[in-house]
Amino acid sequence: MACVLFSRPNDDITLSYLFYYSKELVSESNNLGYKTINKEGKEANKEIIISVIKKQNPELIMFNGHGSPTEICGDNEEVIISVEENPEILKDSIVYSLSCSSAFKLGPKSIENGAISFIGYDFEFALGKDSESEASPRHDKIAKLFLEPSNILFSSLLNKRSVKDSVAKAKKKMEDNINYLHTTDRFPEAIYYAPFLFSNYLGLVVHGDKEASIN
Amino acid sequence: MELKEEFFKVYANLPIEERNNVVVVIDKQPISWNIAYLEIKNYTKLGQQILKTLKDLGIL
Amino acid sequence: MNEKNKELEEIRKELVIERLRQAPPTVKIAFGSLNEFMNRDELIDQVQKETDIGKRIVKLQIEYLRAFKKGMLQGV
Repeated sequence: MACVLFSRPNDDITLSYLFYYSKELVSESNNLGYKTINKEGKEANKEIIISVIKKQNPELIMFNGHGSPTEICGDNEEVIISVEENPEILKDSIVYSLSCSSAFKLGPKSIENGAISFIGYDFEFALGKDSESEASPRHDKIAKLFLEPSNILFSSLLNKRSVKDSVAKAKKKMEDNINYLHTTDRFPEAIYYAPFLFSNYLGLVVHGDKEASIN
Repeated sequence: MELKEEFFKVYANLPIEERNNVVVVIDKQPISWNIAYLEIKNYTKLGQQILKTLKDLGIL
Repeated sequence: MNEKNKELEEIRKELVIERLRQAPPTVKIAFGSLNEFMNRDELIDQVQKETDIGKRIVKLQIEYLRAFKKGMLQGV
């Protein structure tokens, strides 16, 4: 059975939202019978993540974290993967990076170095927040609109859909959510979030094999 | 297609809430899609300025 | 040509600031490498100071407006 790796730091408020939302993906991976390796909080550091990748050769990897066009970070913004140092570490994996801009340069570089597919964002990832939810991701109806598509994407990969189909599903959900922001009267500030979600929509890209899926 | 017609086409497809939002700033004055519509529809000088600026910005 | 480009940049920046000003102050967005949620005024500040985040905000707002012309964002 395939091996799935999650890197889920949780050391600031933004990452706490990604951390909360990706929890259900870890459960789903377990329930589907994959060998699921979940490195969260302080364990989402360079030493541990690199060691796991080298020993376990995960077919599918999800990175939460801060990032840049050339890097993916883990706990305490430690750089885990970078264009300069170790793009080859992603060899033979399908990667989904929920990190700002990492698809722009690290994406193509990782494919050059043997990664099967790299799904990520060409630009900064935007996350809206409901001011009334008091940093509680569970109750945040706006954050849900931004993070739900990401979960749909990875869930689709876990269910053996192709990279192309999984990204298409995520983009469709983003479109639906943008339309919702355009039309809902449930909260008056909805329309102001739409451009940011649209930026995520434009920024979500794939490098490498779009037909790839895990076994 | 004339700029005016382009504007009306885009305007017709806007979400209703977006129409109340600023689409251009002329002489430090913020102008919403709705106000732009009226100015353009009535062939005003401001309407002409709005169209030119929207074209320059790539919004038309 | 450079003068024209600078003028357009200034127009874009002014437009985005006015668009953001319309939002309620409670709008909150986490964006880019900043690990906190910014409210409306903080977003405006980024644009005014022409930080990397501010420039990206300007770009995404203009892309959003252009998307209506391209038919990418159909209203209901």
